[in-house]
Amino acid sequence: MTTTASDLLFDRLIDWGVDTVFGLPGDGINGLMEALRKRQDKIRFIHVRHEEAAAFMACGYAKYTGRLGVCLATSGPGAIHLLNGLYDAALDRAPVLALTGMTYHDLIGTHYQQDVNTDYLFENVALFNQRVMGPAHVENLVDLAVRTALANKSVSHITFPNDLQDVDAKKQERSPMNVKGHSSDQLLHLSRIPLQADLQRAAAAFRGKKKIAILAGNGARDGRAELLEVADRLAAPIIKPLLGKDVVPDTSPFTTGGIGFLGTRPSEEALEECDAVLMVGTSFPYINFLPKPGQATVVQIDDDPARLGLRAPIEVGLAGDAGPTLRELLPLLPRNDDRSFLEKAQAGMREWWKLMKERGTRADMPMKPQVVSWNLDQQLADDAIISTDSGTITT
Amino acid sequence: MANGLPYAIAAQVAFPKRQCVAFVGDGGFSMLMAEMSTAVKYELPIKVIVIKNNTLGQIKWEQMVFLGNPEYGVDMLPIDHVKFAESVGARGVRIEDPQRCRQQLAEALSTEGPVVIECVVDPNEPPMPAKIKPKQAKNLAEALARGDAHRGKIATTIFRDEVDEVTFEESPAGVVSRVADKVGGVIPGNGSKRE
Repeated sequence: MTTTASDLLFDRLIDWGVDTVFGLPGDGINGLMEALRKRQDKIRFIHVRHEEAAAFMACGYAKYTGRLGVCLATSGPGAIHLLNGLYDAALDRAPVLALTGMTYHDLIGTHYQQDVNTDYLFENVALFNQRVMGPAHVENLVDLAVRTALANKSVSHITFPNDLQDVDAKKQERSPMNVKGHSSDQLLHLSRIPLQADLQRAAAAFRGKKKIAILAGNGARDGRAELLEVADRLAAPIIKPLLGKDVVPDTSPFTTGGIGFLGTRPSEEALEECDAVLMVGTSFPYINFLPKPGQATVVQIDDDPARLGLRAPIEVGLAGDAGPTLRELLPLLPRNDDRSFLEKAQAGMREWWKLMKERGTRADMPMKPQVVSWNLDQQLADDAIISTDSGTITT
Repeated sequence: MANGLPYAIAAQVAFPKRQCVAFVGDGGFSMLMAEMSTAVKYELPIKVIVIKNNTLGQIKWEQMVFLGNPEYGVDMLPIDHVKFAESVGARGVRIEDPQRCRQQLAEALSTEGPVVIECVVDPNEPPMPAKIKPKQAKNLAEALARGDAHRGKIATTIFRDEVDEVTFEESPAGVVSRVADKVGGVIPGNGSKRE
């Protein structure tokens, strides 16, 4: 049986551990579909009704598993449909690989059917974004696409001209400089920890502070235990932007839940009154809910150094992964023996939950929406996975 | 909007044995609702709670509270999600009565296979921010005074909520009384006032 360029692509993805692809077939990706058909025992193709859903699914899959999410769409309109889900992944920092078709390699740019330069189109959303030029160009592109997506928690895109998808991999000559087997399908598992001197400066910034708040987003997820220890040491309530919902459970005495128009009153008041903030793995966009510049000393942890100082003027920025960075920071932090700021937040949350119960148990007709969420909350399994849209539904 | 259902499908694909629930509004759900068919096709037992108010709720309240404008272009024709669910081979349940909500949810969650649970709710319940700024109360008052299509029901709903929550420290209801002064003239029973 002939080995095609498409076979090389999916074999390489299987080497990377990919076992699920969300997508919709089309006449611009028949070569890719045939390679998937031949590998259905190794890689599961989930056939959706609209490519936007495929991109959302790849994004959700990446968020829930921490692994690469993969979606597939045909040339032209199929690829265009992916964009919404890909921006979701790019802005929420989920590692996603998008595979698309393009028209025939020697008709690109000639107003041929579905002639959309999908690589140009995806330039704003994909950190890695390349067009396959032949079978010898597949493995090295796949390796770099996957590594880039996983290392940066970003979107990668490979577009594959239609006729090149089923080219016989053996017949195409490679350029003499492209040494066969030069690229590696491995990613080193990084654990990024800031410099010791910066950790010490960060800890010192909390000296003498009595009203400390913690803002923890989805980047803090790998540091749940450490975050709770830090909260205890600093007597600081943990405030959770929407994406940080699952960083610590709402039942923890150390959290005041959400923030923003969809947040709680104790969260809002803690940020209004604090004299120091520790921001961990968050790009929470609503700057008007953050302490006003000059109000509080800000220390920020983010694995992306470019985001340090994004929303608030910082005293110290720590470039590192949340878990290991908090672990290093913890023994250096001064213990805040004044618990009153935390206790006020906790008292506020007891009142808040009473209010939620009142709203969730009303018997009015028509039914109050809070009645549904209140009753659902009490019946879900402990390890249930809940997904929502954003809007009134998230209040 | 629209991501909730595909996320739940992806979650169930990744974790076949865990409970996967989408909690979405009728606006977001209708954008990609055909994917219920995908859940049926792959036998993914997701549970989809559709909060139905036939309104793009957040936008409606933003128009009024942020800008002081009467709501516009936010109503949606009702969709029968129970019939829809059945049409794609899923189960459908409708919950309307708060007294039966708990029991019906329990039954739906323990039903095998994918289920759409349509929850019919009050379209005039405001998604109140935790703390209402005076400017926001003023904007809401202006929006109602300028002739919001549902101003009578909205005003009644807010004032009823306020009465119910007046003993709760954390409720923003106190601030709403300021709205009362501004829109006294448009409350049902007080005659009508137009600018």
